[in-house]
Amino acid sequence: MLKNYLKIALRNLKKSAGYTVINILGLAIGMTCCVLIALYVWDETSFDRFHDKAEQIYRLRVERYASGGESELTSTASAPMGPAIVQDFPQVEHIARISSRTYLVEQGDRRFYEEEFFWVDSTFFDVFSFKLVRGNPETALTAPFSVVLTEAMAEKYFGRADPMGQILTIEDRDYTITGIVEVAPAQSHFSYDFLGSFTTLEVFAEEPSSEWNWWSLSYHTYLLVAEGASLETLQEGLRELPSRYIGNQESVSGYRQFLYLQPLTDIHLTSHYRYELQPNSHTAYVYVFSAIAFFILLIACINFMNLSTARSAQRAQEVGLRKVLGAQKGQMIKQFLGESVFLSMLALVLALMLIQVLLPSFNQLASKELSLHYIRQAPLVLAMVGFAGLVGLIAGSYPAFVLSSFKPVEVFKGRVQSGASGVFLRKGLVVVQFGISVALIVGSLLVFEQLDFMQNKNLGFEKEQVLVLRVRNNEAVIESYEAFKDELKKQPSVLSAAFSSSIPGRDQFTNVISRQQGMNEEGQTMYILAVDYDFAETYGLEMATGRALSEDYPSDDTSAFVINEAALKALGWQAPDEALGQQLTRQFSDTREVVGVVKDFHFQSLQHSIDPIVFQIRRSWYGYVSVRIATDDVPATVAAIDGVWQAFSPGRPLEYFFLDDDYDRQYRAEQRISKIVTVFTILALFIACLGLFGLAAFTAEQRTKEIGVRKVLGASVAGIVLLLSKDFVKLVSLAFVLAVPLAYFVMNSWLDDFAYRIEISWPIFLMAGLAALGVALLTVSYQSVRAALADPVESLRYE
Amino acid sequence: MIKADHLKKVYRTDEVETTALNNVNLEIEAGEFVSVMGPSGCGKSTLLNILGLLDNPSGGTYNFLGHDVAGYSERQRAQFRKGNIGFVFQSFNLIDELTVYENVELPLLYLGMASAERVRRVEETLERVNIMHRKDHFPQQLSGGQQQRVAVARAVVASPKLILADEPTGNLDSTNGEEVMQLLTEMNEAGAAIVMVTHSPADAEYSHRIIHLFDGHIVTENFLERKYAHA
Repeated sequence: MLKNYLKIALRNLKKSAGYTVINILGLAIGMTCCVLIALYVWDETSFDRFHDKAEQIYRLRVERYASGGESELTSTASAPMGPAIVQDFPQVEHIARISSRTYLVEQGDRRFYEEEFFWVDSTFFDVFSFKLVRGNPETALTAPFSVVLTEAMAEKYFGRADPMGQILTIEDRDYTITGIVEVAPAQSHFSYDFLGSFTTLEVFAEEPSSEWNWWSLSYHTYLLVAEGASLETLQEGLRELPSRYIGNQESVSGYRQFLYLQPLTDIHLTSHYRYELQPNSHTAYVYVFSAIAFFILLIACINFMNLSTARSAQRAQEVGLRKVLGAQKGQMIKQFLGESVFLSMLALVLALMLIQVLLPSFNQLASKELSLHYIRQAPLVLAMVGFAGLVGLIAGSYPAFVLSSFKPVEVFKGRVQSGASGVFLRKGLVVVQFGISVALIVGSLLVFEQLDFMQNKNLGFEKEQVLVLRVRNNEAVIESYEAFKDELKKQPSVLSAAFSSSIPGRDQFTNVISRQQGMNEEGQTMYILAVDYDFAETYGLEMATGRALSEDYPSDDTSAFVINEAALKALGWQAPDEALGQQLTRQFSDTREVVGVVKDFHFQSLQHSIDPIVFQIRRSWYGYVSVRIATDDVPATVAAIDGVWQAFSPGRPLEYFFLDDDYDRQYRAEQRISKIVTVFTILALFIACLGLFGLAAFTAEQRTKEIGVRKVLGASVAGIVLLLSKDFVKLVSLAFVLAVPLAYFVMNSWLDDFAYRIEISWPIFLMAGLAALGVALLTVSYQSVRAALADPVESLRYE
Repeated sequence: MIKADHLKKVYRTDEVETTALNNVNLEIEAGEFVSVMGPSGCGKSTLLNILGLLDNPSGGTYNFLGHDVAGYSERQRAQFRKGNIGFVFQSFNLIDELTVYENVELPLLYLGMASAERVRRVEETLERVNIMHRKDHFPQQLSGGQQQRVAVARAVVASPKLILADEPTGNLDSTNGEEVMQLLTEMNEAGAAIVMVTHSPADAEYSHRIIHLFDGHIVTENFLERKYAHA
């Protein structure tokens, strides 16, 4: 009997090859999207779980509050906190501190800036499960001036030679290579190239354990907590730890710090504090993608059901006959469900092939390294097979139950109207499909518009044509910075150049700023930017009042501040002029006069509102040189700048980037999301149209006789096309009406995350609606025109 | 074999009530060949559907092979039909996607018959209706007459006690029609009772008894001279 079913199924598929292709292709694309997204979601949710003791590892984060109420939340802790915790809390087995740096690494003539250099405690390998390929994890990181590097780095600096015990020069000091470590898995919230022993820092006399260093939050600190230890007790004890050690400093400064624990496995999706090791993702995106996967699959399943029910009339005769010949309803249900499952399995096979083909592109799109290994990920593959079976059952259930309940008497009397059953359901499902499509279109249009808005909004400074050089701790350049700038300005394509401690779009320092002098006065945490006299000009900043810091006033070097309008308000002045000539104190000691108020500009991404910022001259903080250039010949300009750089800093490679690229990097996550959403929106619409195409073909076929009669009676081709398209237009319109509030609600809450956002306007909805309608009409019209052009004599004889 | 008393069938739609059969009394012996005639809409097909257990009567009793089947559920009727009743339709109703052989095999599959026995029976039956040479063809590749011979083969392959034929020659030319009637007669002579709805007086001549229906009533019953072997 099974053979008989299979034969019938295959011959039916062959007979209506067009519908079969639509059905299988739609479902396969749906499954492909779904699996790709599932891989993505799986990847996102399994970050840092590869550590053997992942569930026992926590990261220390700090909340620092000023008496004025402002707070600073960091993902980092200070150096003494970790050791104090191990000492005070027996349930903490180990702590491991990490401090990320960028260093110049040299070996022979190989010389590179390395951005993934980490100072780590010798307990690093006790806490984390990163694998040491060579060397002893117990001792590799104990001695000062020891360094462990990845295999890739070993090859980069030593080629094929054995690197163990070799010397590597890092920032002019020699380090011994004591181990080779495997690269961190892609699902780690940080990655490294070099691990230097933390004890080296102590030799540098940075004195990380000095009392005052409790305030310097620059160490990511991880705790390995004993199995079964009470987290509540630990958290309770940790909160007030700083008060126990530096209570006196807290009362003097008016600042307090509280410690909190973050589970390691939560970091990737939920941690968005200052100084994250890498930008983290958002749980919301996981939900959004899961929802998209679900909806695409739903659309594909709907196609499957719609086409099957529509085509069911073709099978009515077979059902009637089989029943006459003794088939039970249950047998018929099994037969049709079986066919449906068979079809979905075919779709799965196609989907698996599509996944293999598309995975590299998807990885590029999503910036992931996802892979699908049939053996290694056997559970996933099995789940997919089970899932395909389930899709087959769900999609096939309606047709199966409808078909099997056909009564033979009615079939033979011709009372089973061709596909009449389930018309209402079918229409409802088309509405659902297009509703989802319209909502997705609105969503991707709005994401796109918001991104465009962020990238093109007037930021209050000029970000184009600015080349930024990284100075780092290059004393040679900083000490002779005036001479360096003079040389730069001699280049014909250089308009101006300015040193600063940071640049827009990158992290800024914060300091306490108060209006009165003295320690006990109320202060506020504000961003502070050390600049030189050319900064305002180079960035095209506008003054609200007063003047920019200027060479013409030699006292500016030590006694002038410029503040922005946000700082003006935060400090309690109503109008810019009120601030001029007033005294401000930075960090309780550095008192200067406000000489100017600069108009607000976006020194942070548009996710943030403009915070108060204070400018002053302070050479020792300089880390960047911004060079405004006027040229189309970038390579020649860069070469010229490199020439100047080398003259001042021989042997150190020039590091540079363009300000606009660097600034827009802040939106990279959003750009990626936007691309992914767009791709899947197009696919969703495509699948929906595939189904509509099949349904339109079916409707036209079903109305062949009606069309024939109408044509005989004088209907025009246009009239017929209109007649056939009208119904679909109604459905898509209804879908539009239902989708609009949903899309509005979801997108509005997404946009709320941005301090500067677009307003949702009706043209977006109109565009989405027209796009969906246009695509639907195009899809339907092919079939309608074909039906309308058919010879009525033929169609009437056929009936 | 069949005893129907006061059979009644009423079709109801929202507004109209149509009586298709009204107070029909009918007895059919095993091995008998009965023709049912009458104008369109007189209830012939309704009667055939009820006799064939495809439909339930609205009233009256129906005894088939000693069972009171009038109140059977759809499931029970399907179970009872298997192997006991064969159908031949005016429009052949072969499954397009199955070959001649597979179409004829289908009732045996539903009976759950062993494979070797099925092959034997199907081939034997195809020989009987003289269509063996076309066993691997699909219905569309056959002439109307050939298709109806396949349909007859399918109706008799399970050796049912009753064959119901609804205008079996209605879609055939006279030569093919005659051939099919010959075939039905042979099956009848081999022991199956036949109830045939027909518009053709010539076809009706092949039977033992002709029943005339009009507006849901049996109006006349004529016994023909041809005596049936198993009376």
